[in-house]
Amino acid sequence: MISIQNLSKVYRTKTIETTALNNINLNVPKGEFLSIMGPSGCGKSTLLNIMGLLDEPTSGKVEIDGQSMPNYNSKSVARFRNKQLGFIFQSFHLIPDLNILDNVELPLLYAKVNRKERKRLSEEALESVGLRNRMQHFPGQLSGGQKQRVAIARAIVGKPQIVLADEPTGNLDSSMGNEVMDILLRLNQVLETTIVMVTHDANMAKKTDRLIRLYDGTQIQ
Amino acid sequence: MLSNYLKLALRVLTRRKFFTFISLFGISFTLAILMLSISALETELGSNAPLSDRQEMVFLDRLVQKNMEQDTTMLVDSSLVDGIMKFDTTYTHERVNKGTSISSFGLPFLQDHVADLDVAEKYSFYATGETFNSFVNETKVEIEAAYTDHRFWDLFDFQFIEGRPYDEQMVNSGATVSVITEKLAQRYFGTTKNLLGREVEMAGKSFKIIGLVPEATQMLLQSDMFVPSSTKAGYPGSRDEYYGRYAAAFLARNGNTDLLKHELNKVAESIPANSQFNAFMLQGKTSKELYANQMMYSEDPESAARWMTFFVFALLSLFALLPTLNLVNLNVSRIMDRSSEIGVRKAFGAQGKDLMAQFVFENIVLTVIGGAIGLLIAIGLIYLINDARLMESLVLQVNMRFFLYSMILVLFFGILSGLLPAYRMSRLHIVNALKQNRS
Repeated sequence: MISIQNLSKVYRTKTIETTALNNINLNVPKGEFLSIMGPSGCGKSTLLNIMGLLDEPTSGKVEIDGQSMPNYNSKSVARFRNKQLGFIFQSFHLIPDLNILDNVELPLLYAKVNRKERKRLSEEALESVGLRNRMQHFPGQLSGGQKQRVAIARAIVGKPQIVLADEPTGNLDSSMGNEVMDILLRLNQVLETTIVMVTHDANMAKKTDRLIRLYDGTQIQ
Repeated sequence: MLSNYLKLALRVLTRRKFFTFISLFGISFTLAILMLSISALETELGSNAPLSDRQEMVFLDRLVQKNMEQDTTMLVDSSLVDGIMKFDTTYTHERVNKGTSISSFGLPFLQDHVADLDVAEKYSFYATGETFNSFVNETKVEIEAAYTDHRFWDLFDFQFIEGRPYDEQMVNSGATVSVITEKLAQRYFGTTKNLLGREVEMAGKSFKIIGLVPEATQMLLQSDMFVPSSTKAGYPGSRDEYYGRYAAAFLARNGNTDLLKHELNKVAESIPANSQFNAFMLQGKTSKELYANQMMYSEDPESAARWMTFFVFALLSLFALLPTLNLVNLNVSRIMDRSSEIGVRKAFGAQGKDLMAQFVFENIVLTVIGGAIGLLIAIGLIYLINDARLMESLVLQVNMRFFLYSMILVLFFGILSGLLPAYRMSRLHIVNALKQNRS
């Protein structure tokens, strides 16, 4: 599903050059739940961003579903992200001025889905994370766990093939973290969605199909 | 999509109250002042009665008379050639201007030279600006009179409240009849009702009122009382002297004002010399050129009109530019504050143009609300100004065209102040945008 070959990412300023990722090779088959672990600053999030076409590699190749993406800023990549990818962020990134339903609808808005269908699919997604009764609330009225469940609903509402989660339980206590993890596992098992998750939590990582570790931008396991 | 943008725009505005207040305050007051300016321009320069046909009219307000004489000038040029001073003398024979007179016209002059123009469909000769004092119950009433022909009423579409204009026969017979404005009626009689047949004393004569009209909003036609030109002292005036107190207005056939001006130039060439002058200029002016020429005298009224237009637009643009820049600045910080939202939208498939549309739309919503408030303030100010007669002779108007101009202005304002910040934001790198942590 995701194929990464000889991928490197180097950040350059006038005075310093920092290698965030160094020659990474990775294959994620369809339906796999992969977790990525490593100390802070080792390049986990950078790798996830590149897999999600949010950032460009300095060298190397990323193929998703057999397609390589030459220009991450193009219209076709925006469309591809919209249709094929879902994102979950550690700090939720819900839009505070929109209610829960409108937040979840967001990917469908850019997919040009009509209003009625948007509402139906969003309610369905919120139902699957147990928050249908909160759809008229605003993010500020929800707990951290609930916010992350809304973020999951937003990530899956367009039925993407791949969900990329950047420390989805990082800002949650263990019981809320487990709750969120259970939803992701169910998503992976029931809908066979490919999930790549960056985490610091070994217990969460254990629940996934495979774990890779990064250290100073290099894959060590 | 639009309803979504609208919902979000209103939420953002109500949530960020201080920002909204500052923005609305700036927008509404700037727009109110701009709208007031538009109203003044529209009132003065728009095609409103009694100058509904002003775009097709040519005005002749000044006669330029010159005394051109053949003259010889001698120019001596010196240069040193091989140590010897040489002199080169040039004589130039040419017609030079020995004196210029600029004045308004004598009535006989106009009748003799410009009453039968081929390109003029209608015309009128009139003298405005003469002021007389009358006494009503020992109170002085100042009357600004206009002496006109009967054609005046055909050329300018005054809306009669009561009565009728004077006709050719009345003018020819020197009938002391008058058409007065509501403003004078109020000052002179204390009422605007049942005035036909009553008399107004002016310049030692009693003029019977036969018509009542509203005061013209345009300075060009602002007189209190209109009477036949044949009632003017010294009527019709000397044929030999070309100058006097009259001006002329023409309605160009098929609206071709350029052709009419050209015909006037031709007529000027054929005017015979009088005792003092032998060359003449008849500069026909459109209403805009007439205004421009009053503000800045120029031999070329068209260039004066161009300068006036440029000056007015430059002034209004400058006035609009300052708050626009301020708003751009406010918008940049407001939008950058929402960079996490921008990152999320881009991650989930928004393209640059979607984000541009969203933020420009939000800004338009803000400026339309500001515009509506500004419009209310402007209307309030117009009523106050008119009520207190702060602009003496100018009565500001609120009409449909005024609303249309104001709305265009509001949209222009909204798009302009939203475009730059929206463009900057749409170019934001997703990863950098997402680093802003907000939930």
